[in-house]
Amino acid sequence: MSGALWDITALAVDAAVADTAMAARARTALPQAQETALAPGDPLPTAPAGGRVLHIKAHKGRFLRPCPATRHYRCCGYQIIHIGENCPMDCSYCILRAYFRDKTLTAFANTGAMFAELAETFGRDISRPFRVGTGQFADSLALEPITGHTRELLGFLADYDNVTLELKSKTADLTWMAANPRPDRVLPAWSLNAPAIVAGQERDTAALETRLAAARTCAAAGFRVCLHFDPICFFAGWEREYAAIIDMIFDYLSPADIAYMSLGSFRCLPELPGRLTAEGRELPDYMLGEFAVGADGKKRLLRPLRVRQFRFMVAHLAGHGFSRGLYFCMESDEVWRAVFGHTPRELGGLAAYLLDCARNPGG
Amino acid sequence: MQPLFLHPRDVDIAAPHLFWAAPPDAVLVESLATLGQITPALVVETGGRPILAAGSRRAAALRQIRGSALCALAVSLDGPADNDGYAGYGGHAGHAGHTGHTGQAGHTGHTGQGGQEGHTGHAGHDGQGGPAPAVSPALRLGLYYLASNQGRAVTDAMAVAAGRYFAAHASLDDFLRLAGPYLFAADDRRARLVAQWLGLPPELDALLASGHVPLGSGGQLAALDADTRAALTPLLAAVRWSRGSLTGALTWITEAARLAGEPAAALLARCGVLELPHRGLSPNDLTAGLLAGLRRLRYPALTTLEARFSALSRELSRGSRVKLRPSQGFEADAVTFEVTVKSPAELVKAGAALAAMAASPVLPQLLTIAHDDPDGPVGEAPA
Ligand code: SF4
Repeated sequence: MSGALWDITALAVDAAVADTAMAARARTALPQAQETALAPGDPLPTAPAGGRVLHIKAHKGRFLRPCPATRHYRCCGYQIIHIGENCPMDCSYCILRAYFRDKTLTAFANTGAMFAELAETFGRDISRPFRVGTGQFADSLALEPITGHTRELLGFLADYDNVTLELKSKTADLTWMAANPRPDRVLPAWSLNAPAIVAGQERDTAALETRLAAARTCAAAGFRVCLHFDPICFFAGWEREYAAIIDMIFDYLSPADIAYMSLGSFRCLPELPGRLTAEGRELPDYMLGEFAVGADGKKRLLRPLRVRQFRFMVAHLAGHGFSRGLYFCMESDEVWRAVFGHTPRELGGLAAYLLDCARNPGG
Repeated sequence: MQPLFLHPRDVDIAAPHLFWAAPPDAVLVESLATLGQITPALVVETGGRPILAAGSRRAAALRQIRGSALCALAVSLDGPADNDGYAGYGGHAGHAGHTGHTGQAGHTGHTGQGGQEGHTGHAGHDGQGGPAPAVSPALRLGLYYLASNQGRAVTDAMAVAAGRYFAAHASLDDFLRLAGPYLFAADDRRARLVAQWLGLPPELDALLASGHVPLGSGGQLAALDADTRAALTPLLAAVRWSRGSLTGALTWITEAARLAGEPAAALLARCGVLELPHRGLSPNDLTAGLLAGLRRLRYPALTTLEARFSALSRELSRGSRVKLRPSQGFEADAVTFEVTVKSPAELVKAGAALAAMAASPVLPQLLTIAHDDPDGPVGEAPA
């Protein structure tokens, strides 16, 4: 490690975005990084001192994308604004491992083009509410102190009352609050996990206490927060571990502070364990569970075992008075029924239900 | 070079460097008795009892023929240094004279030895300068033996036996460099597998020789701790394992032990698979039983679901030709019914069978089979 922020020792800026505000902010935030101006076709530089490159570039395709779902599992209707690629943290279960082979981080600086596209979508019918997030292939806030991406976005969204923005992170970054957004239109969100999983399977993420302290700061400022248990892992002692983090949540927050909370069982492309061992990492116990390949081609824990875990967590959360806004990420009607006794359809559809949770505190 | 004539009992025919020594067969004894010894053995003169370097089967056979002497040529254990001949020795194709152990088995073992002088410039010569280490007498004896057996088909067990000898006197790298050319073709991946096998205790070599355990499983077996290996040994000896089956079996047992946080030996002792070899099962049934038992150990919930499904589906479809399949990975509350018909009448019959199944109280159980937690309810009740 070089000691630089996220170990970024090289800043590569495409000529097309060299004069953007984001490029300027990155230069200021990374004064020690070796800067390279890239003409079209230039290769990325090698980062000095074994660090990583932050590549500031323009994104060519669409910025707003539906959350990748399949027809076999119930999706929450979330839409994601593509702000960049790759993550400086390292979680053994991360899907990004399948997409990115190197450590290079990418941030899209052509925010003008992004806002033009978003304005067209969000402005077409301002009575239509949207629930959106950032970072399909990245943590929402990991690079925020460097790029100021979210602050820019929040400035733009100030004109769109119909849009609720969720900022999902494993950092405790709150610099976006400087944009002074409407508290009822921003949902700061944190992914949580069992303390043993955080300790053993996440690298460079914020401690659970730090994440929850940041959530408490947001709640005190009038925001409601979202929490995500994803992936829930099956390992010896999981009951004790997940009970501990659930108990910890309510040391920091009250149920009313939480807009919604997702539960997602560990699932992965069948090749993920091989990728991990190819990197020289030991296969974690939770990847040795009893998996079946689901209809979406992903390995997931055998259904009765998932249901067992979900029931445990739902009951434990209910014991703390939290049940409204609890939902499953990518689960079948069978699992919904087995755990909640109803399907998303009976809630009026998951997307509508979560929009309601996002926008109406009382329910 | 004058041949020596020795009493066959004056040489040690079971010395460690004669690692492929085997009792002579009747054909060899008969051949020696009628034709005499066509090819001399090799010995090293020591001033005392000569060391037999090659020809142990001939010597053993001649011990059975009263009054016969072992004809042998003397070779020296002094020789060129490591970089001057032997590592490249096997690389030469010119030793066609080693026609091996067909016919008068063992009689042709050493022809072509005179060609050694010319075999300099071998692949192992690094040309770095400095004095090259001498090949030790023990290694040289092993190499003589290999050279005298050149041309013979080398089984996996033979390669391992050779490896054991060389590994006792040299590093694995030196074994492969010096002896490898005699044992393996240039692109033979067995060299790597033999090196892995040598990480195992020698007691397991017998299972390789008997065909119970394949060479390719050596690496995986070597990665097990000694207690697990010891616990598994009765199972290894119980059937002739294919590499694929053994890989599956070893993976299941090690992963199950890791997940249970218990030694594999304890799991094996509990799960009943150790009793299977004593049940008089056919080899195929025994293999299937062992694999099923170990899979149950690794996937208790899944195999319980599978067993329940198969029992219920048998009950539901009894007397019909309808086949039932669960949903993929038991993910959905659904069952696939499959029936093949060859005539309208068969379809009518199948239709009636399906109608009866639809009314059976077993069907709802089958459709909701994954609702039951194989380990029973844990934790709190659903909200
Ligand atoms: S923080 Fe999120 S995006 Fe980053 S490595 Fe972990 S799981 Fe992946």
